[in-house]
Amino acid sequence: MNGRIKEVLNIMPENLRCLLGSAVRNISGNIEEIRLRINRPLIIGTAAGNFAVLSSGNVSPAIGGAYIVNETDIRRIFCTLCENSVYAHSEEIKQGYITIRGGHRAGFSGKAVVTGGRIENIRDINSINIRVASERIGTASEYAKDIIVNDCVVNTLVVSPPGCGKTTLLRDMARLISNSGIKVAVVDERGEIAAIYRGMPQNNIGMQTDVMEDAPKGRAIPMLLRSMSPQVIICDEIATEEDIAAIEKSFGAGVGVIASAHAGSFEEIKNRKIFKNVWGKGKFEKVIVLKRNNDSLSKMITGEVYEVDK
Amino acid sequence: MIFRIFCSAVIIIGFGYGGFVYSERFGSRLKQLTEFYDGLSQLEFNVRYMNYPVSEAMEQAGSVCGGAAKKVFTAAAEFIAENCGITVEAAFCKAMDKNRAELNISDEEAEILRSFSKTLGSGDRAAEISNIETAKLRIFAAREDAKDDVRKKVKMCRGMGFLLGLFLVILLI
Repeated sequence: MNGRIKEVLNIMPENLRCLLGSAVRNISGNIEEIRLRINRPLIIGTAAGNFAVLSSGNVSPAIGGAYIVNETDIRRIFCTLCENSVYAHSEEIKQGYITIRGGHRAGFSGKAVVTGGRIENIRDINSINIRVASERIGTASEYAKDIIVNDCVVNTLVVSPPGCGKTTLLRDMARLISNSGIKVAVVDERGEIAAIYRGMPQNNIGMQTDVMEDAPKGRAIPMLLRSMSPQVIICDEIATEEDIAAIEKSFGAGVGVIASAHAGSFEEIKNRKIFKNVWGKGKFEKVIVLKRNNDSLSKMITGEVYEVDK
Repeated sequence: MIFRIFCSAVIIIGFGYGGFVYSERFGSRLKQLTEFYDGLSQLEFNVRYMNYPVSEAMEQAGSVCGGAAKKVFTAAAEFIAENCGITVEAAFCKAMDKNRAELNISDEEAEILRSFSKTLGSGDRAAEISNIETAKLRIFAAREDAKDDVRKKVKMCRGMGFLLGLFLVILLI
């Protein structure tokens, strides 16, 4: 059992830890997520499909005989996710997820507590989805010649639908660029890229990488530009005008940017309204569109590189 | 004659020493309440400014206070960190029980600490700080009470020790 899966199993109560420990040994291929829903079967998701975890510890594509998740399981897992400290994770809870040690994202759904149109809290959690983070060292090498040209980093946007490997690719890009002698600053808003634990990155992000964790991009990017003198800034999930404005500050400072965004295709991201002013020389010059790799045994992140001006 | 004087001296000094030893418990109670107050102050700082989760906040609090309070905070942090599913209250009570022999605080004071742990970690930051501040106020009041005890009872116990010894000597003579 690899260390990544062990990190996820460590947050499970004893009964589920034993059950899942047995189940993962019966699955070949990369485990992508573990889904728990109250009064419904426990499911492990892989690229090849979903498998129900049986009460015996085996797995099956069918749900007959599956272990049924109960309310106590969900409550105990949520307490562990919060480290028994709701206050320490209140901002994440409002977003509907908590990132645990190792950079794995545990999303949850339940009853939203809304004040003035803003979600203040989520209670009565009924589902938890744990996305297993993967570190694939070397996966960015395929794109090295596109992102590093004449010892300079080309501003690049990585796009795909959810679950195709954007964060995994950004992580390895940070490592690749940093180890080539270029100073990198990572804005790790969700704690998934570097997975810092007590100040130490749990993932290999390179020798010359500085990380600002849990800070919004709009605040973190100007801070890093002022204090850490990066040559490249890497950040995940550009989605708002504030994010775009922060990135434009980087462009204006002559600092390279590699970022990611959700989109299904190059045309979709190019035509999206908030991205209208970020294309061209000195701004995003290349787009890497990733595609879902349904080969569960493959460690490759497949994608296609587009040059913006072309 | 000399033997009588020697025995009298031994009795008086022995009872006097007993009075000293008995009076130490009042000083020990005051010291432990001060240590718990320091620990709670550090815990408040860890929550308010550092946003540490409970386990780390308690570990840090244990590192700045001493004596039995240090052992309780540190043990509670360990129980939370290593036991998936344990509540903060259960961990803190378990830590207090584990160090019961070294604790020299009253049942009411122990209850202040137990009840503060009941809601620790379950609210937002403002609620946590309010909870810790309430516990600090109550421990502060208990500490003032302990100071009064030290003032009144330490001298009395020490004096009583010698007087008892003297009384016994007079009886025997």
